[in-house]
Amino acid sequence: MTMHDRAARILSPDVETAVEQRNAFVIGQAFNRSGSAVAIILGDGSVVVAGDRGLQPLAEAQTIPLDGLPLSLAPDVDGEGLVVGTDAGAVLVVSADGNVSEIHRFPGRWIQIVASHAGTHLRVAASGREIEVFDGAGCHQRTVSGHPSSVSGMAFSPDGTRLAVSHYNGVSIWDLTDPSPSPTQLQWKGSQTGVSWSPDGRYLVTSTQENELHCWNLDQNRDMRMSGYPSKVRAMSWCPNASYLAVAGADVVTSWSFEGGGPEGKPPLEFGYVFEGTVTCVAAHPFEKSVAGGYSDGTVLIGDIASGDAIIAKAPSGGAVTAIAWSPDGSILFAGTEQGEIARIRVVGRVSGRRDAAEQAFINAGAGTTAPETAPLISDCGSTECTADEAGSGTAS
Amino acid sequence: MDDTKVPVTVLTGYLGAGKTTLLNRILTEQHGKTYAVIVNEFGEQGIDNDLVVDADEEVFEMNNGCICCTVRGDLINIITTLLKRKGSFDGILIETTGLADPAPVVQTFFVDEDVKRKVSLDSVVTLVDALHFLDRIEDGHEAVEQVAFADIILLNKIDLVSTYDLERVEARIRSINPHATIHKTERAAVELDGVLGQGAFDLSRILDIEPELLTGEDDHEHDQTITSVSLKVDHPLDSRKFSAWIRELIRTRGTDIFRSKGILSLAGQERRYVFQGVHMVMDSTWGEAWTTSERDSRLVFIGRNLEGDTLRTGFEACTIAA
Repeated sequence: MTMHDRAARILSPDVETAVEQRNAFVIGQAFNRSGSAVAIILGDGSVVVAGDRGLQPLAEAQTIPLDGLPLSLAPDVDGEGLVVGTDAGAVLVVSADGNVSEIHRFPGRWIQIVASHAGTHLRVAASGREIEVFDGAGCHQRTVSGHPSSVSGMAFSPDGTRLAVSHYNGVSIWDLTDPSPSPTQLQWKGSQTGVSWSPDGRYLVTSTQENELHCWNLDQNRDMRMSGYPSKVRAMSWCPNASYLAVAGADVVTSWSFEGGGPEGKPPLEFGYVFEGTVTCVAAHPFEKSVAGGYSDGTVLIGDIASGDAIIAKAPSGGAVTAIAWSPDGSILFAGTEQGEIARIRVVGRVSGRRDAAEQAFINAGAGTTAPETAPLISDCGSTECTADEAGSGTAS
Repeated sequence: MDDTKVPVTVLTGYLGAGKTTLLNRILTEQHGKTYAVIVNEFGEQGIDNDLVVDADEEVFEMNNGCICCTVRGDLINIITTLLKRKGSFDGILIETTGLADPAPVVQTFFVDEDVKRKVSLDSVVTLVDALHFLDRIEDGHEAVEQVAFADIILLNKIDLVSTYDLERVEARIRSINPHATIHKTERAAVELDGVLGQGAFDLSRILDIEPELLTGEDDHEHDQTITSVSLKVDHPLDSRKFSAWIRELIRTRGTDIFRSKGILSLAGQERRYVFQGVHMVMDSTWGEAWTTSERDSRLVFIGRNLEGDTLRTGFEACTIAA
């Protein structure tokens, strides 16, 4: 155990944190779908795979050098693997025991974003303006092209049949079941930097270069702005029953309520006022209504969305938090920083208060979606605006 | 300038002016430094470097109310990705296409928070083809704008023109941008100390030149729309008056003002207030402390249809004495 390790351990009765140091930028972190292993992609061109449900010490974990810089990481279609994209154009699958197999290679291209869907067994890899689609066997199915700019984000619909792609001036939604599709276009002026699809399938939200989110209600064909961030929005993460969208970009962790009539007219809930710097990463807990937030000073907080109570899960150090990931069972949180700190945070007990009906329903359903309790109530005007006040006290219009 | 930031040098200039030649000269010289190179199109001439990234020029408009605020989305993406690389490099060189408007490239370094935090624009280096420049500026606005944006100008291919023609070209460059450092070169052969590590965007050196020597009443002799105005006042400035004036100026005239730079003596402040802008985007910082004898405020604007007298009157009205 290092000095640093000791210093960072046990900051709260509810979490036990161990910090290990790698001398490279932590580019991404993800558990595989079964939760048996966690992968960490690093700026020294390697991927680290820690087995034993992520509990294997990093010193004993496998460090696999790649022939390029890993740029993107996502769980694979099955329970075991993880998909990695590199700046040498490789789309790789890394298994829980550290075996690397190459799905395809596109020489000279940067594979900036990867994603997969467990239901349809599709894997997608974005590079420049194009998206390469592979099936679960690794066969290249098609190239999705024609975007007006480089692809900045991708999100599967909950059923995995459609893919939302963010780019300059909006989002294209592709029907992956149609062999010769033309996309449905959602337009919003400006540079969209990422996209997320609500787990109930009803909302698409983009982060933008301009300190706000843009949200489309797909059922009602309406859209709205969610603004008030002091800097560009850096990350979004949905609570699995689509009750909240947690967002990084302010000096606090903001969570927009999608319960009832959606986010319109409601300020976001916030926690984590006490810290300097901005929130750089968020990850919603896999079933509780709680969120982990990483800060630009290296702090990690875990907070209860409803009450705003938060615990310190990692002390400030190591530069900005660049990646954060929950294990599928919500018992372990991994956070990495730009200076190579990797924190393994074991969470004992619940973060948020009592389990509510929606959470119970979600757990009973096992995975996927649950319908919200009430239908959204939305008026008939065009683009409306919700506001997150940067000082913390949100207002709505 | 923050030493921990990675310096970025932007190379502009018309096709054939010698950008790739200069780039290869920088890369092959024995300076013990490594650079990441971002190019906009792989030209016929190869680039002799391990890390060359081909950018797909994506100019994104911002909708923040600045009508001319554009950034290069591809550069934000490439630079933030390059910075994740371990051990990496000492600097970044960006070669733009011959017809590129330098504004979106330069504005990228002011607007995006992640880029701003990690890298600093060291200088804009513009290559000018001595043989063809006077024709180029008749073709379109790009060649003039590239000169207007420059901190450093390589007046290249001087072996191909007569002394008389060289003087004409140099005079024309000076009439557009009197503040840039000009190096006259053959085959882009220049001491790299004169191009890299300039910190040109921290302005200290550029504004050292006495404005009286630069403003030149002879501006009026040329029938030209892009020119520069240099201003100087000795009395300390009222920061509120100045702030109100410059905001209004940038708001109403930002489209025409390509570059603005200033080192200001604000009343009650021990340190220099240093600012610079590109169109409507401004950035400022506190510089070194003043020594009493040298306190004055200097401003430079380079742009289109600038009204020197109006600017001068406006600036002079910002002093505490006014």
